[in-house]
Amino acid sequence: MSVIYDPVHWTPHKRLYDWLLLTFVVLYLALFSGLQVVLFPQITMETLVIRATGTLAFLMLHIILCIGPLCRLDKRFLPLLYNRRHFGVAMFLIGLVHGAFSIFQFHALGNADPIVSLFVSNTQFGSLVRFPFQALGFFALIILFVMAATSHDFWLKNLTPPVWKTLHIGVYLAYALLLMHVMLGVIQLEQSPVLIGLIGFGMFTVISLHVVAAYQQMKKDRAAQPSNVQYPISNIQYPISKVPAGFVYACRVSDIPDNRAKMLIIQGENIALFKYDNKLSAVHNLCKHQNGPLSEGKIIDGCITCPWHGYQYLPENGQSPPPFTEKVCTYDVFVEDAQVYLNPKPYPEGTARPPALIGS
Amino acid sequence: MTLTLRKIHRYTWFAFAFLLPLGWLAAILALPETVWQSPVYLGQPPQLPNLLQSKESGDFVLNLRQDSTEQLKQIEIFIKKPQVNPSTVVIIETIDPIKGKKEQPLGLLGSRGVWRFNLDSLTAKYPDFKIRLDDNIQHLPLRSITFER
Repeated sequence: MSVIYDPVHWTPHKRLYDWLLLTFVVLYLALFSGLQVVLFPQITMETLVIRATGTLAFLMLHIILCIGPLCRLDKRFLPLLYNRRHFGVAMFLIGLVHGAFSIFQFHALGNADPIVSLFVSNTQFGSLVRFPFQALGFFALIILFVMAATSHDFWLKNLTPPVWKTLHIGVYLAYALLLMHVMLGVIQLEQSPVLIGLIGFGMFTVISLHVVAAYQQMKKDRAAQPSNVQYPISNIQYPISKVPAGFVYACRVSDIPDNRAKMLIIQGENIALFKYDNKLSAVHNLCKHQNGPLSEGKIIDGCITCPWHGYQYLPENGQSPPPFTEKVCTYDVFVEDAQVYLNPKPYPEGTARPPALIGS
Repeated sequence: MTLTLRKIHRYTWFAFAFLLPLGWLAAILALPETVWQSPVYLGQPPQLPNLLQSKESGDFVLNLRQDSTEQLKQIEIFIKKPQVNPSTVVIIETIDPIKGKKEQPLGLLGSRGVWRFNLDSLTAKYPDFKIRLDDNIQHLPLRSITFER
């Protein structure tokens, strides 16, 4: 979070993250290269670079794809999410080295343009076993380039988080292309059962995590819909007239832990209802930075703190504390006899609304 | 994330849960029965001392060479400009008075450099023959060079 332009807003956490990342990359390359030299003494330097960078980039892509669902399933993985963009850009650069060396090795020694050669040297698109798998890697690299080039907050701010996020869903298409690129490459050139097994293991891990996380999120989203909210029987005992017009039942006060929130989806509004200091406030659930789920964050130093990158908002008015300028919509909250009611009509971003006092 | 994006994520992965393993399995089922290996280039024979004929065609210079005993003949091919097609096969065509036209592959050319192929004693006896260079992947004839007595 920064109010001035800063190419990379370094923090101790980011520095540690990047050092660990660099250490992992160096260790992997050293270990892999050492093993290759021992196992294949005749290997050329170009082939060694192609293999080392290709396997590393593919492994990194798997880790990157696992971080999102792991964080949704267990909050302890959130520190991995914090600087995932650096991981992604590093993965792209390593993949680029792999692609550049491959094009040089296999297509640059003829009298045709190497890129043209990539697409015309093998045109057996109708055969799976002879399919020109290199072209799949090329297209995946193009997608990853677009994502790496737009990964900076400059693009996030200018494209707006929903557009930026949609653009970055392209990583899934890149993954599908790369999976087939690697798989077809293995069956055409290596045919190693170990490699085929490892690819399968990676694929099933990524798919399983995403499907389980998506299923859990789907259940959460359904539970947050008003039609699925269980109205307490006690509600009947109180005259509904006490609740101001426009308010709908949200939950019991006890349903929300202290300094935490409950996500609610009421009349299409995605709302985070926070409990703190014996008060209740509601703000829009999507963080202004990357549309992170504020309801999964907590109150730190009196501020709602986004679980993804730590952007903060004051619960009473949805404004980031000065000098920051981010704002989210706010909502009216009403409490009566330990039951919480919400008015889903949003106030303009940053509008101060008095919190509902618990026990008043 | 917005609800719409969450839905896109969900549908994407539900689709991938079916499609990606399908692609993985299809690739395994498509495994060829024989292992494809990179071509093994054997050490080239030494250049024979006597040059009998030299022909030039496109990016290729072809020399017919002979040893001092006149028993051994050799085709020497210079590639003047690196080739686009990764696999060029060298074929010798001879005309046998009884059996008629006969084709025999001599070997493969790389994309650049000098390549030599010794002719077997039987083929070496034919005074006239044709050397054909074919693109082995696209199955297209590239060059045809005739050697006559």
